[in-house]
Amino acid sequence: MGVLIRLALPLLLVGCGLEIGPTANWVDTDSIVGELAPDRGGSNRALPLPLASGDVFRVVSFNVEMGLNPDLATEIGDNAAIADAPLFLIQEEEGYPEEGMTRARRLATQLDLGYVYVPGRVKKTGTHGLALLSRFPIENVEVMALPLTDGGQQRIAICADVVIGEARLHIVNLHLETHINITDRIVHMRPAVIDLPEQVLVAGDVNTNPYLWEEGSVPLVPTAQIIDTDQAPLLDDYMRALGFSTPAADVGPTERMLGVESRLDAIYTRGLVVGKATVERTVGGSDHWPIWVDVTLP
Amino acid sequence: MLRFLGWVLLVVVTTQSAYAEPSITASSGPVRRNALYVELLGKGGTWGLGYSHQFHRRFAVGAVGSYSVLDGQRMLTLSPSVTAYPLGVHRHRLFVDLGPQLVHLSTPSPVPEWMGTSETGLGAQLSTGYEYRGPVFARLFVMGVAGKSGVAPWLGMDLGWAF
Repeated sequence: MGVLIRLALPLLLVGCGLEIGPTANWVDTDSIVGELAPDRGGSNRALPLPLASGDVFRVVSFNVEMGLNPDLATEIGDNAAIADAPLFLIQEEEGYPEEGMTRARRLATQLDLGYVYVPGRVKKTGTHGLALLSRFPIENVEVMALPLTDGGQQRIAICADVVIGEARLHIVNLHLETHINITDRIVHMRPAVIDLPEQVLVAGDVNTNPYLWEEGSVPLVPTAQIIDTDQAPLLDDYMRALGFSTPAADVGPTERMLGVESRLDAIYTRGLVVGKATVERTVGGSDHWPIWVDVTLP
Repeated sequence: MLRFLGWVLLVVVTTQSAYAEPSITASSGPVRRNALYVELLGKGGTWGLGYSHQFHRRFAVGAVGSYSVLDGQRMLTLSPSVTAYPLGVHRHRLFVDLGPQLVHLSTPSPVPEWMGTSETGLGAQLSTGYEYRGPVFARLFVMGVAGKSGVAPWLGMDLGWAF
């Protein structure tokens, strides 16, 4: 019996999650030097018609699975809905010195867009991070190191102002940890969204998988059949509590893996007029599908 | 689903007459009608505490319950069940276990700006596998769980004490 108790004790003592710590800081990317310094460049080609306040502006969020697929630009270009989108928030982008240029730069060059790539961590000989691709100038780019989760990797969020004529669109691009529960996910994301300006768009791969996790390693698949353990509606609910709209709440899955479809990606807006978000499931080149929304410029 | 479960029960009942009697008998040692055990994976998520009472040589009733705290989320499960033993020799038997599964998940908010949430759900489980009921009680099994979101396969292991 003593053996059984010893076996059971570790299972009883689970559940120490993230604490609400001091809010992480946004750091000006211009102040970062070394291997995590941002890479920026590319063109800022003008749209056929200059946009102004009241015009509609399409924003795409896309996890590009490390930018591995060299045909990603073709996949995007072949999709009429996003081929000419003026702004892409890219997650899971990478750069390796031996490739001659960052994969964000390669993609931006192929799409004829300006870009900024912000590494979040070193990976092998290169870096892993987030990128913004835009037809319009990108200013005030800042990065935040999100709270680390047990066994997780360093995740980041970046924010920036996209300058569209007289209008400015403040955006946040983020990529959250994978195998964590909704309580930790909220604490993990919170520093990047809690003190934002009233008018803002937040998007990215929030990794809202459909499971409750035991110690970040065992997804409780049977439990998910009986109660709603999908994290996506719960994170939507949290963002609504912060005054955000959830235009992607009903878009359905943005990723399919091992036959399980999940809504891992999200777009949240506050103080903006937006349409309903759409997922482009014909776009290949990644394990995620891109998701977009039309924003009426402030 | 109910039709499927009905077929399973029918198969269990009709096959039992074709095989040797399970051995909860005086000839194979003391009768151990009760068992207390820890269940890993199985009906309680990742772990549970279970009790089984064998009231007939081919049938038992029992339940597995668990309470887990997962990053602040509190999950309570209870799975009463009926067990049938269609096959077996002495202490080694094949078992089929069927019953409802009740799950309550409470998600307290980790932050002041959100209210948190909670939910209770009812599903069903069907499991089958090997049981050893001697001084030690052990089971190794596969199972299926059905609920409002579908059906999923799972597995489990029990280890405990029979008396």
